[in-house]
Amino acid sequence: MKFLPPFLGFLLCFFFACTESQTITFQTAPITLVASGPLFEGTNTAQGDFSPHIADYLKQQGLAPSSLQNATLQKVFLTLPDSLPSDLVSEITLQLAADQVDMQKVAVLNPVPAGQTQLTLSVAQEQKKIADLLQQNKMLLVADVNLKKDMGADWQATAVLEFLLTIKK
Amino acid sequence: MKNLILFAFFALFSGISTLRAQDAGDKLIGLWEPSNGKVRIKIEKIANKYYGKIVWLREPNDPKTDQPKLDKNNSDESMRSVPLKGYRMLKDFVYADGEWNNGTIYDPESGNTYSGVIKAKDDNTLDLRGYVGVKALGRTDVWKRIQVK
Repeated sequence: MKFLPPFLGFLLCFFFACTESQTITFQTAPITLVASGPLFEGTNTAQGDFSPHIADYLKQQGLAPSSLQNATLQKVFLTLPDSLPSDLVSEITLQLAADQVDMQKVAVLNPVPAGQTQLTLSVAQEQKKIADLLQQNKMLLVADVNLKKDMGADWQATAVLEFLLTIKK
Repeated sequence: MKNLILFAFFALFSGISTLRAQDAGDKLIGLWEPSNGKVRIKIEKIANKYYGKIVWLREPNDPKTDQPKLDKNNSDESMRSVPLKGYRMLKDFVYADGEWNNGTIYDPESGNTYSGVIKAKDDNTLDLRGYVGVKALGRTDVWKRIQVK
């Protein structure tokens, strides 16, 4: 019985040593979102897709692809073209999806400040299966864009997403 | 050679069947109104799944604030500033065997999300059933297509 506490201590050390983890950030290349015109006042859908290649990224960092434990979306940056009227968009909501992963709302900006082209969206606190999304061949970005007036041409924006990856050591 | 022709015929036939199934599913695309008439939902197809978002509200503004209604019942506080106009309340429906399945229905009035199945009674009428867990324990609403002039 007297050997039990040291044995338990050893077990706990072994457990924590095995489950030690680290975090790294992963930022996507700019992703183009397009809503094909003509567009009307009210809600419109803009889409874009990208291939995360998360396994390649982890290998570049000297990490095994299987070491990815968890991922969360940390930041969403959106750039609007200067050519757009400065007060055209009232709100933007961003969703992520993939063939094998259900769509989820991940960020919102309401209201969009007039005259600004560099936007930072508020990111959802509740996120699901982000690591699964990153492991898909193709991830889909869907932006719901509320326009204040009709627009004859396409609407475009560029998104950059920053993820925090938890890596099993 | 005979086998090759048979294979090509089979491949062509199965390809056509798949396309026909996709076309049949696309009859969900359009503008719909639930039985309460409070909102209108535009259903669109994104990457082989069907999604519906609110494009019109009978009462677009919150009477308390006189500002556009927001998703104030969302369990995630950080998403409560999402406007209801443009809100995707139907998500991830897949067409198979004559109905749209595996999707979810969000009720902005309660903040609850339900599993959903959609059946077309005819080209202009849908039975949309929301349920938790078991299909039998749910509620069905009838949606009518809005003709866009």
